Amino acid sequence: MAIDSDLMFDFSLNIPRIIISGKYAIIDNVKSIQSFTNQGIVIDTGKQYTVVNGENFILKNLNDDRIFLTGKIDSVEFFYGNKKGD
Amino acid sequence: MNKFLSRALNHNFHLTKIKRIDELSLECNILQRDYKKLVSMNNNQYRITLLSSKGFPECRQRIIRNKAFVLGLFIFIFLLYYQGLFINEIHIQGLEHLDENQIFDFLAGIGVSEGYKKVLSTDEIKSNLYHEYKDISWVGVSYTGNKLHIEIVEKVKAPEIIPMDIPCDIVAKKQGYIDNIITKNGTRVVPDDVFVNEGDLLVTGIVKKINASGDEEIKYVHALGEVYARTIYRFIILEEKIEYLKINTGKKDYGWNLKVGDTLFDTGKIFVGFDRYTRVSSKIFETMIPLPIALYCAEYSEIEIETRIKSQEEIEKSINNQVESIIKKNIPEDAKISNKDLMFSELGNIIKVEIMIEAIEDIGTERRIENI
Repeated sequence: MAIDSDLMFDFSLNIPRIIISGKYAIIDNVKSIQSFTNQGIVIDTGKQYTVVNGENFILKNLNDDRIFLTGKIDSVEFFYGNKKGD
Repeated sequence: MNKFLSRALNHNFHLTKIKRIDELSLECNILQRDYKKLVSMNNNQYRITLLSSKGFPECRQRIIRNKAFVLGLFIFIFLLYYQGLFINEIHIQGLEHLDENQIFDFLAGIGVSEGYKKVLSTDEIKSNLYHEYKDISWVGVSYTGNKLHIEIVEKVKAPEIIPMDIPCDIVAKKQGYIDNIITKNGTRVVPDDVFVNEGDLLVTGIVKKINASGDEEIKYVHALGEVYARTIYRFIILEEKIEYLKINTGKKDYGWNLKVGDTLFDTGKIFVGFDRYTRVSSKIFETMIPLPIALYCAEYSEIEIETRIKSQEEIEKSINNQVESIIKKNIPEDAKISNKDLMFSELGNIIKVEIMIEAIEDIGTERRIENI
């Protein structure tokens, strides 16, 4: 990864950043949680909405703009809502 | 609910294991400090129910609530520690000639006995034993909990070797019929086939000679020679014709054994309905002096005793094995067995075997001539 894209990755505060590994997902830059059910979670990351769909979701940790989600993850979707800066 | 989560995120509440129960409720873990903040900020927007609490503050509260339990726990720990200061059992191994009771008395004299406090270190016990008993060549002392293990190795006394320039006799070290004497130095005093007892003179170091002038001259020499004698060994072996077999019926029952001091309370004797059984106990706990209590869980297996008559071959094999082990144990390695007689007789269920072994061995030993 080039230095500029590396820096972009680290300092991108208002764009979604997700790490998914098997049944675990770590989502950064979480500004607010719009919806949370056992089957899905909608997260506002500032510029976008991030939707994670699946089953048996449990939020293992919620702290410092970061959530740690467990459960069967089926899909991840990004929505550009009517937000400032878009 | 979603607003609640966003709010928690913005206020940096540390929430973990958030699980949505239904449309209107969720379950999560929260730190105690955050919980207090959450309750104060609530303003009747949410209904908060504390399902359970864990951690140090809760544990502290529980301790404060159960003072008697905590006091009991401390007393128990103290008792456990206190009883660890005492010696519960002393086990001495390796004694051959020394008297065990005498050693126990000596140890009690220096403050090491069952029920006494552990006042002496293992090194001090060792040095005391070395100092008291000169016949000890090595002592190992160790504590296993409240048990004191003492392992003693006694010195093996080497036979006295009389230097060649000192006059001596050869005497019998045990009873026997003289078979052959090979005299290398000194004068033979017993003929063949004579029975001699222990201590009897066989080859003397006092040699009488007639000198050139016709006078009797006495000369003292170091007697040398080999004295072979037929020694008799008698043994009795008892062998049962019937073998008793314990047959497990497969029925099992369980019970408790409580041991207080040396008294055993066995629930099996009251509640287990088997006529004959074997018991296997496994220890649950055991305390030492001053409160020696032990609790065992016991498994009782019903058995039936069946008898079986041993075959002639089995009896012969068993007797032969016993004879071999008796010979190995009692007859010196350098002795040559010249005759072996076995006399069988039946006493009801028991076969009595009288064994007479005749061996040829060197029975001579050197003894200083005292009155020179």
